[in-house]
Amino acid sequence: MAKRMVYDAMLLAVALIIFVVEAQIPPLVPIAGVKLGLANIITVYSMFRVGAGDTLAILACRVIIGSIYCGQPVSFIYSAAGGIMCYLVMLLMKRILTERQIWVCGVFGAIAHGGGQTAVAVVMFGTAALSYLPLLTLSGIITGLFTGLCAQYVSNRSKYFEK
Amino acid sequence: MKTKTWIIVTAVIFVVSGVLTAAMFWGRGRTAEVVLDGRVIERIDLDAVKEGYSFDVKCDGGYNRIRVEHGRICISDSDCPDCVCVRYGWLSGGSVPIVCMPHKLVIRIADGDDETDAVSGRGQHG
Repeated sequence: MAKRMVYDAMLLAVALIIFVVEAQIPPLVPIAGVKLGLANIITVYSMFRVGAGDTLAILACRVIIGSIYCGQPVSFIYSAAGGIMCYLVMLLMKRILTERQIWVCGVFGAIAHGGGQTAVAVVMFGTAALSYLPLLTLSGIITGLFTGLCAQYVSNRSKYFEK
Repeated sequence: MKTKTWIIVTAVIFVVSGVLTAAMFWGRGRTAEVVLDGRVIERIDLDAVKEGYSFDVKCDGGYNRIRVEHGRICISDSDCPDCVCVRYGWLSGGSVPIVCMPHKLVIRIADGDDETDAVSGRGQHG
């Protein structure tokens, strides 16, 4: 139990470091909502390696603490909505994916993340914000593929550092 | 499901969202606004222009001749002192407007609705 807690805490620490470091990188595309989302690597990884419940804890802590470190209250709402959507989709994906298909989870998680963000934007700005959904989906596939593959490769090598 | 299936599903979603994105943003914000002393006096849909034409705008103490062609607009002639506006050349997009300071004349590309500005975090016009 204690070991599992330490392992979760370590994953959270890694996720937070990635999150904070990524926030320092200037955005590649000057559109709000389009970013790499590297911290997603940890979410995908822990989903398959430590289980759904632990992942929810790691994700929630990362979103909350990450927003305290860097970000405004508004970005917290977007982050939280995106994170919840992302988590639900990953929960679903976990049931139908094999060990070698973890990257798919990253892709669909990122798409769902964009969906959650768009939902918040629709509530705040009206249905005009829906026009951002295709763009966020597009960027979600690209960034999700990247983060998903990262998680895949880490997971492939997990036998070297997991006991 | 097989990995191949997932690759195909991802590719399909990618193409569909790519097409939708293109449809959403293609040809958007291509309306030119001619602003004189802070008031919009003319709106021109640049993509609807088939044949080029020119017209004059009378301002305080002078005129600006505006040339419109398909997808672009410029000030082709002016009797203002510095003629910065004429030297700007063609305007077809982007957020930098043509400005004629002496005549208080601005030509800018309208940016769709203001809600888009709020979401994307870009500033107001000008």
